[in-house]
Amino acid sequence: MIYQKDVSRGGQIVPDLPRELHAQLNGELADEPVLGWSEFDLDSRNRFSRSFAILTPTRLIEVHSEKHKTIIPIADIRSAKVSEGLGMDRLILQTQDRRIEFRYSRRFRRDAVRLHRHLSRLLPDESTPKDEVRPSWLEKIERQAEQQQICDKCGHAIPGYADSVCPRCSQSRKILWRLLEVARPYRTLVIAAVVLTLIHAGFTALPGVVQKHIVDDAIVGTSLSVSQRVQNLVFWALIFALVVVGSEVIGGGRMAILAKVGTCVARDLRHKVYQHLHSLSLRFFAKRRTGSLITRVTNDTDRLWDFIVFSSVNVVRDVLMIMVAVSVMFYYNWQLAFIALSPLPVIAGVTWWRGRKMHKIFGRLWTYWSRMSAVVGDAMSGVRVVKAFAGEKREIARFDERNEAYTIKEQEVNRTWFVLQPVVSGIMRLSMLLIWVVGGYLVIYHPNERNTVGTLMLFTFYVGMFFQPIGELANSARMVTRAASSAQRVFEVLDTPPEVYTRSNAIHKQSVEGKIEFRNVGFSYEGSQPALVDVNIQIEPGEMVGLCGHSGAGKSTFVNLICRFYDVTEGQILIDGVDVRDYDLQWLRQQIGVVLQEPYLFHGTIAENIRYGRPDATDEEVMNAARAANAHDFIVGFQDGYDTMVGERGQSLSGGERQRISIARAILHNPKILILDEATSSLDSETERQIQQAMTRLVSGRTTIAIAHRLSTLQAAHRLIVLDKGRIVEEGTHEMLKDKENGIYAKLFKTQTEMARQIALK
Amino acid sequence: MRFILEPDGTITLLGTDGQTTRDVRFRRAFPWSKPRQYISVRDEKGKEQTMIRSLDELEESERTIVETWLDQNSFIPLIRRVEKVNTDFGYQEWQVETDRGKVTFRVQEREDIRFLPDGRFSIKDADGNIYAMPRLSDLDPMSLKAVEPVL
Ligand SMILES: Nc1ncnc2c1ncn2[C@@H]1O[C@H](COP(=O)(O)OP(=O)(O)OP(=O)(O)O)[C@@H](O)[C@H]1O
Ligand SMILES: [Mg+2]
Repeated sequence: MIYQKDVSRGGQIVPDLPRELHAQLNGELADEPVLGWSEFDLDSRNRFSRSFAILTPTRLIEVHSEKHKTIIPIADIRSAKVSEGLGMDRLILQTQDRRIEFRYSRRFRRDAVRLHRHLSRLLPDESTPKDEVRPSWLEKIERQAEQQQICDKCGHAIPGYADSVCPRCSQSRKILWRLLEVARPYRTLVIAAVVLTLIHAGFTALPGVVQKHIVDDAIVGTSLSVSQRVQNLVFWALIFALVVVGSEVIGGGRMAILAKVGTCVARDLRHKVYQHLHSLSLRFFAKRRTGSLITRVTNDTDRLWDFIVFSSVNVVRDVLMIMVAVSVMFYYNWQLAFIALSPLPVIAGVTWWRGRKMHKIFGRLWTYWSRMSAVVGDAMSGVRVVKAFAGEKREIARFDERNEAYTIKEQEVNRTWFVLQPVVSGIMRLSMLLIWVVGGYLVIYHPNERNTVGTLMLFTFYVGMFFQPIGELANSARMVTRAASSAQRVFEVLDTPPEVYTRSNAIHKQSVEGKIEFRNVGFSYEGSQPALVDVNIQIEPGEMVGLCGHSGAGKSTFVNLICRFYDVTEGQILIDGVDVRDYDLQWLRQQIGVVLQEPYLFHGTIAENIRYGRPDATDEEVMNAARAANAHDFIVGFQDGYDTMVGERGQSLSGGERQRISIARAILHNPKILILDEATSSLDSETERQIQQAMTRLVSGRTTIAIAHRLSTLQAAHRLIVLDKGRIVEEGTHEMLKDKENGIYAKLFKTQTEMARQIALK
Repeated sequence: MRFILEPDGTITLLGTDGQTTRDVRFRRAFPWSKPRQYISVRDEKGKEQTMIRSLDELEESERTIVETWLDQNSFIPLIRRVEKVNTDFGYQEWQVETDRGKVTFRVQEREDIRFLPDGRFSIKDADGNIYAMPRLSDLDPMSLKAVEPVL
């Protein structure tokens, strides 16, 4: 509706030229209006090279640089056409005496096509194919959809779904930070755990000091009386007991809190990932293997909470323990402390080197793992094909090959890890020996305040306390690297923008009438072959249209766009006069009932499957819908009736039975707009006729779009639309189309009736 | 089967049965696995007229015509060197040097990088352009270091 206003303005739109181009033009344009422009990125030898072309009413300006400009008067141009190559296209202009080519990769295809469209309108020549005149407001919408806001901070474009928040700037924080953010709602608990951890660390450090006092003040205590020594022994023993009890209590509490936070964070993370998966468009799923998505929702999130909770808190504790141990050692005897810490650089170096190496390998390991599970997923989904073509051996071989590859990688990881492990722990234990030797020497030859047996005991305790957390830190490094690669994959999902999304000020209406309008709609799935080209059609409320055409003509694509499974690449689709992109997505789909070309049933009962679109429907309603879809009788015929489990993908049902259940599902949904994509293709003619009769009642008052190859299916349609290679080529009633010369519909119709007659004759 | 290069740059096919087809186009049937074999010759509408079994079976002059056409009408840059792969923003930004010059492109997701059975890679960028990358063993150490984290 917003767009309608622009129509009245009409006239030219002046597209925003890039600043850089303005500079290069250097006033060349004066105040000529700009009709269109495009950037090109290839030269005549298909090498990367930038240039522009700007179209004004009288000339085309080719800009290579500020100095290098060519002007082509429109009057000289005889023809302009786009020639499509593989991965690159050419815009070819023919003038009286020369041929001018603009070459571009996929990046500038849309711009170039638009420029071509504008240019062809200026050319008188008949040989240049003319598209229908596209209203200028339409181009404006398209450009708006493509043009994006620019982020002030990073200078990158902000996609529309992000509502002006630059996703890059919010993402560029380090992955581990983002991870900790997941634990944010539990920060009081986390803080409590950290505090307890600190106290616990303190308690763990105390026994060393107590031990020293027991040895020096009670057991050895040469300068004291026996009774005083016994007193000291009892005193320090009591302290020791207190410390032990206290540290166990606090340690237990700490673990309890951490475990609670951990499970909650894991739950939230799984929820977040799963929820986000559902917001993603079909394009996302078309590319990915189900197996790898499942792993991300389950395994990867699991590994993450492990990290968030235990590793992160333990890192704090370990660092603290190291600090305590170091300061205590230096406090009691700095010479010994230096000796005790001397192996540290070696250990740190080895650990650091190992961590770096592991990080790379872990990422790879996952790729190998998911490639292996992909084979399983693929083969299990297609198990019928595997069996039918006796492919079991090949499938097993395929699996073994990847299983082997994974194992080899994993062994590589383990080798790196475990070869170095003994080195590190060996060094640690040797440094203990160093303390005994050097310390023993000091106690024997230089006994004094500092060099006592107790101090020696204290050192053995704290050297242990020092190296143990270092080992743990190294271990955490392993966890961190593992977690980081898991996090990367989880965030990969979370950061994938939903291509189809609800705008911030989306429209919710009470009800729809069901008027559908395509305006200059163009669409392509991959950006290469167009699936729909310049489709213009109006479907009135309550009308039933039949859609036919050859396989691959774009029929399913047509309805995919109405449901907004994808967004149009060009033009717009309106329902009741409003662009579908302006509606709330959920709301929009509630108004539409679809029977898809490949009916999908969930693992569950038949009743559950029929109810999918309207979980609150009563049993009566479910049965009525099933009756209308001619499914009631066979369902009741099953031993378990409506409670029959249909198995994954509805495998236990016949193709036609599946179709009828999905028709019932669409009927029960009670939509204003009904879409039937080959809904009855697996049914015999008799059953189809029965369903049609039931449907005629249902269809009245609803806008219905039915797709069928069997043309008899479309008898009830008020109007037929014939698609060919993505274009609407014929339109009208059966009577109008059936005798049309060279008509696609007429041909299809003749072939089918001919076949029917031949069968009848036999 | 003969090909004639017309002044306007298009190619006309003279079939063995004496039929001529104007403005034919060529498509490789196995662009990755067998780029020099099975080249389909199609008319404007995409209907196959004939098939070249192997480029090497053609005569020198014909082969040049076909090879030039293929080279002029297809664009799959071959990556020579990878300078940097930036993954900070949730997608990959590749800075590379190709046989067609230097370029920076964006790879939306890891599934857009395809491992080919022979060890090479095909990489699709956000605009739908395809780049070819040689086997890892054929890359220089710096490039290897740059791509390793994303493969
Ligand atoms: N998800 C997809 N990704 C890429 N291309 C697609 C996708 N779905 C369909 N196509 C292509 O789009 C074109 C139109 O497909 P569409 O499914 O609309 O055909 P259709 O008319 O429904 O055919 P059929 O009668 O066989 O069902 C085809 O060339 C097809 O290869
Ligand atoms: Mg279809």
